[in-house]
Amino acid sequence: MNRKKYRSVLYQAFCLFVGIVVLLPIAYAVLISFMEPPEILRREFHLIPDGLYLGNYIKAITKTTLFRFMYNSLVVAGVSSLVRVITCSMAAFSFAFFQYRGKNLIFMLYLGSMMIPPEILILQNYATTAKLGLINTYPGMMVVFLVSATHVFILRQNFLSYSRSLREASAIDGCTNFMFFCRVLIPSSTSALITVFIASFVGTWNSYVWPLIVTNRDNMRTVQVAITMLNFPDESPHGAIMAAAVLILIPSALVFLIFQKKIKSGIMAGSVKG
Amino acid sequence: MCISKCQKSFLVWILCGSLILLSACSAKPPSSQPESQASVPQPASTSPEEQPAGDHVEIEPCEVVYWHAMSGSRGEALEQYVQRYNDTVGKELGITVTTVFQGNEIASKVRMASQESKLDNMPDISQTVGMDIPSISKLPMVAPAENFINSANSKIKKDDIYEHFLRAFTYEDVLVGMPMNCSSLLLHYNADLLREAGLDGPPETLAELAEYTEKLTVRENGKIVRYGLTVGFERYQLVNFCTSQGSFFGDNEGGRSGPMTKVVIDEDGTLVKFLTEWQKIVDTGGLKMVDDNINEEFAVGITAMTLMSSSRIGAVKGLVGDSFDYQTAPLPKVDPGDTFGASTGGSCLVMYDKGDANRLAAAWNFIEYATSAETQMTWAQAGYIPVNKAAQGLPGMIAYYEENPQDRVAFEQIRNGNPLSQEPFDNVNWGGETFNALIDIMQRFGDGKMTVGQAADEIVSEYNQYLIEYQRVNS
Repeated sequence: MNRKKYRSVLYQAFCLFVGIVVLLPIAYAVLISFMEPPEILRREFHLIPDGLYLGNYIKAITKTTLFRFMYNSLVVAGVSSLVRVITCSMAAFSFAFFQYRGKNLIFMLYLGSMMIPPEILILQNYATTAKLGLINTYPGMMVVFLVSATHVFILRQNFLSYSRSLREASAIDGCTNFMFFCRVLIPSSTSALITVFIASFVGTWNSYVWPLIVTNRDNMRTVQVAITMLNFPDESPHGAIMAAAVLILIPSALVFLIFQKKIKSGIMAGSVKG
Repeated sequence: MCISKCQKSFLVWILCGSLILLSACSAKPPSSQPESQASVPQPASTSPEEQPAGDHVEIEPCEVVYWHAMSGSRGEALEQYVQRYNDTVGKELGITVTTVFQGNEIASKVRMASQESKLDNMPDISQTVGMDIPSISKLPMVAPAENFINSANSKIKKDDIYEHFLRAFTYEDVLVGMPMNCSSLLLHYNADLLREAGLDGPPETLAELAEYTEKLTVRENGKIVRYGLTVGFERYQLVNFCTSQGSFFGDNEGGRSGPMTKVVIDEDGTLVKFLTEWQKIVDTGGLKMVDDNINEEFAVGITAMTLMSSSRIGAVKGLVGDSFDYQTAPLPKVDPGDTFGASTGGSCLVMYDKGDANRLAAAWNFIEYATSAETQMTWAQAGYIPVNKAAQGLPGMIAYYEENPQDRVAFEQIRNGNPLSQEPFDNVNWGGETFNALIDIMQRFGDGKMTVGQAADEIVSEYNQYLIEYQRVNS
């Protein structure tokens, strides 16, 4: 028993250590955002700012239209994540619950597409987006984020854990495929769906190259571009950059905090037992 | 029976999928030159001689889209002079210049946009670094500045611009873009520390730089607490030390009269000569090779001297404040007899003809304003060398240089140098390959892990390899 307790304490300590190591750079960035420029340059190492200097935040907000960029990122990340959850869950439903010719081949093609680096596709995607007249539009910025083979795979694996009896039972009760998908499968898969949503939101929120390429107007840019606009290779605007990074981090952190409870409390309700 | 039927149908599916993939992969990739001229809207004329040369007497109201890569305080300075144009000259003519920040992806975006059938997503003007000039100049919609600056009605003439800056953005005898953001490599030093060490003025040669480095390096308990010299050694520094000796760096005049296919710094001996002198600095033990944060290390006194672009003067002044006497000096010579001086670096403004002669004329009108003496005087205070000769005589410029002698050094270095001292048009640099390879080689040389001969051989070998590959893929 003591041995078990000892191991548990050791494990907890290790997890705490890893958590601190992961959080330390973020915490340091927050602390730097409240330091004046001469303070940041001090040779001796110090973590705690001398005072609460807000000049960096004022600079970050006034030198770029940061809130406009955040709004753009929110629209792109939010809408594309929602659409991705829908498209990926429907594709996963097909792969998990239906049997048809060529299903495995199509799934293999999905998996094969995961091995293609996105950078290779930028040129062709840009050409297609331009031909559709979607340059400088929200749909143009979202179009490449509306589906993800990785998330189809994740949801498929989640759906495969469901018992076939559940489907059969619902069919006997007169449930159509669409009703089963909407009323049985989705409500009982909230944890997986929210995980996909969070991963998609954070990934899209942090995207830089594609939104930069398909937009030619400053008022359509996303938050990651704002960081670049504050930074110039020959300058040292560390405080302002950290302040902008902290502000930009808030929405994605909020999304995670709001939805993490749903992940933890996700259980398969109403499933067939035994 | 069932199994063989299933196997057959599976094989058919595999075959169909393979055929689809093969046909997709074999589709001809879009090229920078459109196959059918008819599919791409042609500019008003197709030959450089016939292109409209800004001879519009009356420009109709229009918008000019200007793509740039300026951020931070430079971005603010750019917005200011664009706004001044929009409020004055632009307002009279009905021209509105709209700026769009594109980061470092400008050339890539321009090439992508140029491949569309419509040119609506192309800019009218783009800020283009010198290294991109050869590839950008081949786009059919580029309107070279050569055609406009030679026009009878042009307010800016070639004689108004320093020859060094004109040559910096000339390819195959055609001035492609108008010089705008120009800088040069300088020695930045802490004059207080030099005086403390009993040193009279900044070093003028690499041999003197080695002496200074040794004297300015401070050690405590066997550990260095202050370096004599800190350098983020990249292609930029290597090019300057070779071209300042009179080298073109690469064949075809460093890629200006034709594509650069190899380096010539081994053949003309400039590379070995430089590395031999640099070895003296390495041997002092007071040289620190870093990748970034040089501004900060210099400002807080971790190093006494550094080699950086003149465009950093403003940032360093802001960091240093009144903490010490911050000064700049011309790039130390490899040999005392060298006369070429540091090379010209920076970017220019390139125009694009989207089939609207009025917009093209409006774009040139803006460029005339941007390169005028008055605008260049204020732009110089953002950290760049004024390209217009007349700017030097303006009272504001004279007063600025009196208060900021560090900036004057950059200008005088270029003016006193040879116009042939230029950065090469080596297309491979920004791809990262030669960039990273050179940093690695110089780091190892700086750590004493390579001899002069070994470093020279490896630099030439790496560079030529990438140049050959580039030419093979893009010829």
